[in-house]
Amino acid sequence: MAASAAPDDTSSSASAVSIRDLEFGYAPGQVVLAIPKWHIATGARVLLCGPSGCGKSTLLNLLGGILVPRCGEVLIESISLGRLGSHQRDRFRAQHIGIVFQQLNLVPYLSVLDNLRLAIHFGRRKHPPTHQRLVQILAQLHLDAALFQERASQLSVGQQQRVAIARALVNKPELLIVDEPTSALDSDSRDAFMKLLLDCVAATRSTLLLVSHDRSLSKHFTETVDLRDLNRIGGTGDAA
Amino acid sequence: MLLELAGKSLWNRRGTVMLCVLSIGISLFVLLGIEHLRHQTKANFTRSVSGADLIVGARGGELNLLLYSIFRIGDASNNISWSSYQTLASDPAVAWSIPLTLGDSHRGYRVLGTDASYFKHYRYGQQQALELAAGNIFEQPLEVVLGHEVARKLDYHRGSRIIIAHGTGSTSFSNHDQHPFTVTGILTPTGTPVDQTLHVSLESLERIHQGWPGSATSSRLQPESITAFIVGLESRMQTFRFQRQVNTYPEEALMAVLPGVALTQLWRVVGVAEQSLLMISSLVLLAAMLGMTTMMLASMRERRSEIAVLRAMGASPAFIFFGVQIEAVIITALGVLLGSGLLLAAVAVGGDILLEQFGLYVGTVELTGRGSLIVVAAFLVAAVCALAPGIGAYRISLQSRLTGNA
Repeated sequence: MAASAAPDDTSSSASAVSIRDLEFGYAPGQVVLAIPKWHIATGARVLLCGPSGCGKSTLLNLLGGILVPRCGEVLIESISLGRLGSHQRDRFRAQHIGIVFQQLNLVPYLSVLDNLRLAIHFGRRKHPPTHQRLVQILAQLHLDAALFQERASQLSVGQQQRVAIARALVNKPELLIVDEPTSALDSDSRDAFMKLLLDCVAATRSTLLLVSHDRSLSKHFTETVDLRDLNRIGGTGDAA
Repeated sequence: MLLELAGKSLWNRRGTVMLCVLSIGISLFVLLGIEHLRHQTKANFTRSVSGADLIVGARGGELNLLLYSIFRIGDASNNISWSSYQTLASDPAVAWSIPLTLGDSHRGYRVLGTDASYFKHYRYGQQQALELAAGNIFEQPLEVVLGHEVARKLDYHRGSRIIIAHGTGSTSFSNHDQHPFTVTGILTPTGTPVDQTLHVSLESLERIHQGWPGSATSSRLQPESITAFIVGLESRMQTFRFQRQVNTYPEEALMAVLPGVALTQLWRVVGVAEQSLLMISSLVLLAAMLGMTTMMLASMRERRSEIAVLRAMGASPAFIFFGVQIEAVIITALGVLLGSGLLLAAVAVGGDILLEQFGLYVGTVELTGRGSLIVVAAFLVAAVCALAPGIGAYRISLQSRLTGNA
């Protein structure tokens, strides 16, 4: 099973994300998502928008390997997630995909550094990032050294979001998925946050997929995609 | 990492976790304590009667005879006349005999009247004879040989003067003040009731009781009667013949018991209480474990988002499951530590009280087979109890989505 997860050598070798004939539904007979074809080029910065209920979260879970498509394939860095065992998928996610949620991104009772160390633990790199590197990442995100030993729950929402980016990028993932990161922030903080995020992504050379219903963010991205244009089921998904 | 995470997660909920540890610790303390007492009493009792073939006393309960003659628990219902003792002890089947007279005490410790044969023939543990740590046995009247603990606890040395009280309470009002005893010897520790006994000669007891209402008034120092005597036979083959001879002794209603048989009887009596105590304390432990399960199940609700974060980081559902299991194991381990600590402290502090009040000797805590079995069982029960929250966490982690706003 592990051997079958070899790189797919057809057309998608230069894609960070590649979707083919994807179909997914939670209940039998129901189809929430049906995406015939979608590619994200390596290094691209993509804004995925669409109203709530159109299947954005479902797509993220499919890309993160939490959900498995009913038919079709999801390839991340040419690896087909569906062909990996569940344990391998968890490990693949730890190593290759960074994920930042809207909020509650950290283990609340661990310190800032411990949250990063936990992510490194799951990443299981042969050469894990040094402490120096962690400090560097956190500094880049304008997090004061005084906060490093602070429990995550003690931080402000904005600080938590920045630590979450550090946590998501600490294993240098090829793909960074960010879900509605700015909805809890005011507009000033939002722009500052976006700038920091883009700087960090540039530093790690990760491909960025950001999900938001806020189209005003599109100026920061190389590409803006409306999920309703991708999803053939658009209408029925919206009904929920 | 799993261990560290579990530890920090528990620390985060240290209030409720501490209550869990407390309840598990206390129930384990009770369980281990009962087991310790059981083990200790059995070992002590068995240790105390080695080498004696028969114990002879006034007719009554076999168990009672064993308890008062060897363990200094309770009192004799009747005495044996000196002449009967002389007759029976001179039987050719008898290799040696030790006369025992009880009834007096000193600050809660029993005084035993006997003679030199006690130090020569009495055996404890693995057929060990009594040895003197200091001094020598009594030779003159009004000399006393102390058990090791009596000397240690009351800080007596050779030459110390002791007043013996009539009766066995620790606060007797009728003291034999006119007849102070002198300590001539102190025995080495034996881990048996001998350690808690003051040994005097039969003649001494006779002397201090002279003129005492209801006691002998003869001027001779020949005892009128004794409480019981221990018999060693020439050959084990003669045990039942001699026992029958004692039991059918025409002059007096006497009885001879085999210590082993009486002990078995004792275990039967004690066993029922022991089993029910063990069962009750096991149920208490189970209740504490279920309390832990409840606490962990309740915490699952608030841990949904934490599980989602861990999943996003790449933790497998198995990692989440084992995290919960390890939390249960840590709580139990802390409970075991607390329980054992409480037991050690209780034995150190309460051992003396038990000894003084009940004549119950509780030795140092050692890890017995059943004690460690209880600990292992506690861990197993904890692991089983943690299955419910563990499986709960596993299912949450399977259902958890990358949304973060759980």
